[in-house]
Amino acid sequence: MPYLEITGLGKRFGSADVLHDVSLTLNQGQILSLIGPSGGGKTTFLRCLTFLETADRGIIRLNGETLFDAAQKKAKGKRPRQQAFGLVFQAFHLFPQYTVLENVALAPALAKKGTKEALRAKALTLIEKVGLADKADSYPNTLSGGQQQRAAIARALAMEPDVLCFDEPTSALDPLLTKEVLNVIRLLREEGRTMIVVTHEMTFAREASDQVAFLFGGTVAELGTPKEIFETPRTEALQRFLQQ
Amino acid sequence: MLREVLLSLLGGFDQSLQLFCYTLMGALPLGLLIAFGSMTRLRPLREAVRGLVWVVRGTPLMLQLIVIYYGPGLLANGAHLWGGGGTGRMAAAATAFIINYACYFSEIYRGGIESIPRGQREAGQVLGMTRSQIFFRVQLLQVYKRILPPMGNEIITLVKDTCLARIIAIYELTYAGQAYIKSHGLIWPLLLTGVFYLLFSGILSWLLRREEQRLSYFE
Ligand SMILES: Nc1ncnc2c1ncn2[C@@H]1O[C@H](COP(=O)(O)OP(=O)(O)OP(=O)(O)O)[C@@H](O)[C@H]1O
Ligand SMILES: [Mg+2]
Repeated sequence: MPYLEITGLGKRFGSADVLHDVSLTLNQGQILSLIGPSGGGKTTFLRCLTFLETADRGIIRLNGETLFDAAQKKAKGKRPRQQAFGLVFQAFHLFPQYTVLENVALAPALAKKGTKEALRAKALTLIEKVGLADKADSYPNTLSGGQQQRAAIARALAMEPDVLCFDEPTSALDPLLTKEVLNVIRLLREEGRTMIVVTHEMTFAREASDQVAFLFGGTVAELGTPKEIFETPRTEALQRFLQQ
Repeated sequence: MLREVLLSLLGGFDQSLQLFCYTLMGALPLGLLIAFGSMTRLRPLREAVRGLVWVVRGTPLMLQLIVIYYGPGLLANGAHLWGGGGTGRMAAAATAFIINYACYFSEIYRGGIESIPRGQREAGQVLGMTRSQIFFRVQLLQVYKRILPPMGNEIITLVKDTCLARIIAIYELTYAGQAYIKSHGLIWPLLLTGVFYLLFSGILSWLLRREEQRLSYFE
């Protein structure tokens, strides 16, 4: 049985059927890259997964547990367990009034995940892991984009999400900073974290992921290993997408 | 003479200062409530609150002061709601000022709240924070920082607006100074009130600027 199982996810905004029928599975410890043309619904998909939007149709199952089922969401009426999925935003969205350390430690403290000292120590470990040990007490506006994004990754990790999602984590960064962020994601992969990464970095998708999904026309038009997707694309749409 | 004038002006200043403080204490929280009302998803409430704000901001404070002081009495056959004495007049003036300033403040609050990027709330949400945790721990300080300059302007305006209270016979600072024109044919006591106003608003500006600097560590 797959770790993450998404079946028939659908989302429309008014008359625009953005996600039509998105289904995919992912094993624990794997990293899935999500590629596709702009406006294809990649962000919308991640937002449904992290419950920032409520999908109109579909089921999300994680580790055997049904986290979301559009058919019974009204009947159940309870808020989905939001922290199952972490999200790293394209534009970071760090809390500007807090230092890096405070940004990382805030949510776990509010969720009473441990004593103050324990949470602080854990936050510092995460900050060190993303290579920001010397910036723990800095405010976000004094950091480079790459540093801010790494801080945002540490913040997301602090809530111990089962699946960590990234929405184009490097598209606001220049190439040099892109590398340092992608290296952190590679490091997390070695730790065996389950991740979904929306990306335009084809080299990264090819080298660093276990699975690649091509989102087109509101569905997963192709799903396969990087080798399958990049070397033997089956659909014409993917062939065209890879050529540009 | 100077001593006498100063004492009399201090008495007037005391009235002005009281009105200033009551207004802030009432209008700062009430304005926040009105701001939430004007942003609620309940359409009838939202429209009603926005209507109130429109009326209050669109008519002179002096008019509101007169209506609030005399209105209830006229409706209730001359019975005086506010009581006749100075306390009653101050209560009426404070009520009018609080309602008026709360409406101005509410628009500043609303602008401040709406100017916080949506990503701040969403980041809190995916980290599992509750709505009130997001408001108090993430958004509030950012809103506070943004509204400080426009709030400061309104508060300085309030210092000077307190002199409107004389219309319902509150013996505030300007009134106290002007009295010497009639009684002694002197103009300088009135000019001296200007120094009071300048000092008071100067101190406030300085405090506000210090507060802005305190918050300049983040963007
Ligand atoms: N809240 C919304 N209301 C209405 N339409 C929306 C909303 N959010 C997204 N859309 C529409 O849904 C479509 C998919 O948008 P989405 O942001 O998910 O695409 P994307 O694949 O992430 O694109 P990009 O690569 O440019 O980030 C777009 O046409 C967009 O205009
Ligand atoms: Mg997007």
